[in-house]
Amino acid sequence: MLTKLIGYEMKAFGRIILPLYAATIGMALIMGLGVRVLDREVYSNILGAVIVMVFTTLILATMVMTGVLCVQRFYSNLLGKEGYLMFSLPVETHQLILSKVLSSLIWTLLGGVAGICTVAAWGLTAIPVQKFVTFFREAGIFIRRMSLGQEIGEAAVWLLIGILLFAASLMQIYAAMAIGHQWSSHRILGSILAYFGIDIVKSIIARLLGQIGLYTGWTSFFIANTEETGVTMGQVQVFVIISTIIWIVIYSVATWYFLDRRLNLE
Amino acid sequence: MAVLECIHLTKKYGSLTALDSIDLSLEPGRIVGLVGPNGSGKTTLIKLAQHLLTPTEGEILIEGQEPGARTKSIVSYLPDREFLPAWMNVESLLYFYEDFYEDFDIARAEQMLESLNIDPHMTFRKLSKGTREKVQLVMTMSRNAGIYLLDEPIAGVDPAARDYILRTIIGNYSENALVLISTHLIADVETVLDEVVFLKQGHIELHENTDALRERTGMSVDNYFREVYRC
Repeated sequence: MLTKLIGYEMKAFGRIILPLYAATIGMALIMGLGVRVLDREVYSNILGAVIVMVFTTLILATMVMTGVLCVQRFYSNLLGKEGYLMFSLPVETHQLILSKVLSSLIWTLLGGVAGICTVAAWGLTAIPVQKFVTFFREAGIFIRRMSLGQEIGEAAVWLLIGILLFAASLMQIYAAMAIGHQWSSHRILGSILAYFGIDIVKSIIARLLGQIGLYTGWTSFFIANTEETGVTMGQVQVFVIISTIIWIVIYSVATWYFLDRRLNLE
Repeated sequence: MAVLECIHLTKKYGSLTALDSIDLSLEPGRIVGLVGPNGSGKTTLIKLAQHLLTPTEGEILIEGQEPGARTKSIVSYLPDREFLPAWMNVESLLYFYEDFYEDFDIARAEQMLESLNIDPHMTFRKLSKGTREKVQLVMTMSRNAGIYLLDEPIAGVDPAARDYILRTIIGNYSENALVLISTHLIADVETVLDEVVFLKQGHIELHENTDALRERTGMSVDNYFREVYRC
């Protein structure tokens, strides 16, 4: 059932995001062709400026829309009228929550892939093919070198941290919305207040832990390897991974409790 | 054996008591009217049966189990509002129901849509209000469920649509199923009801076979309802 829920979420996201991906990649192709085909002077004037502006707007729109959809899908699909449908499906509440988190994560990662495709589309059209091939050959050599060293492992740790921080941020928003929905009116305001309430609690705990040498928040990365703290980046990474997992569990339990035990649909 | 059972079921919203320690037992193979004025607790009772709310005290059991994922697979629920995703077209909604409900009869749903001249390629939001309500009913009644919970299925539709809805309910529910219809428009549903449950301020005022009620009071259920709830 979880797979079916994720499949349904992918469709709901995709109908809005995929056209934006297509438009961004299409615009990258146009931009690349503009560089190669048009006269440099013509391109650097109004036409070039318009193309670059449209392209930048599309990239921003895609990024903003991904973030908005991650939140809006949870809000409208579970807490709005559609909640009557979703909470009547023969699935457990935790599966509904998990489907939202996983689909948001997948679309965010796909956003990265779309970004790479956009750069590739621009590169393929703007740069002569021979240069492009050389670039990829050198990039391949670089990646192969990395795989021989510890860089791949280090990159995997950073990727894991990124995914965990993303999931925790999203779950904090979900938990805040689930709490805010306990209000009979002004539910959005309730959700915003709940979000900042959680944030305050979180920062107090982070400060207390910092005093005993456990640096947990993402900002801790800036104080690693300094004389003041005396902690290494490796230690900060471990603290951040553990503390983020703990926060994800806390947010998940809170969201589950309010959706399963205290559901208050419109 | 009762398929829907309430034991000292109480639901409070803050200081307001919506249902006050009610006991109720409903058997399969019956069409039961859950009637009462606005605020009498009809929707609360149905939401509790569907696990959209949790009891403050007491319990509600569906085939002997607390409401949850398992009971939702045997309960077909029609809420008292629009609940289908507006961006999906009717055909996608059919596949969605087929995906999630093992008892969904897609052929029956397609047949019903065809008889209603509803284009399955139309997006839900582009349908008229009456047609959207019909699509929701088609989805709900195309399941071979053990229990149908229909919350105000005929409120807000024209008389011709009401007849269609009632015909759909009678013509499509499984023989051994329980159909619980919540309404305050008793005259329209009276002819199809086997039993009636009167709710008043969170209490069960009456639970009786409709024929026995008519014989005992010498009144139609609708007239008796007006008598009981006279302001």
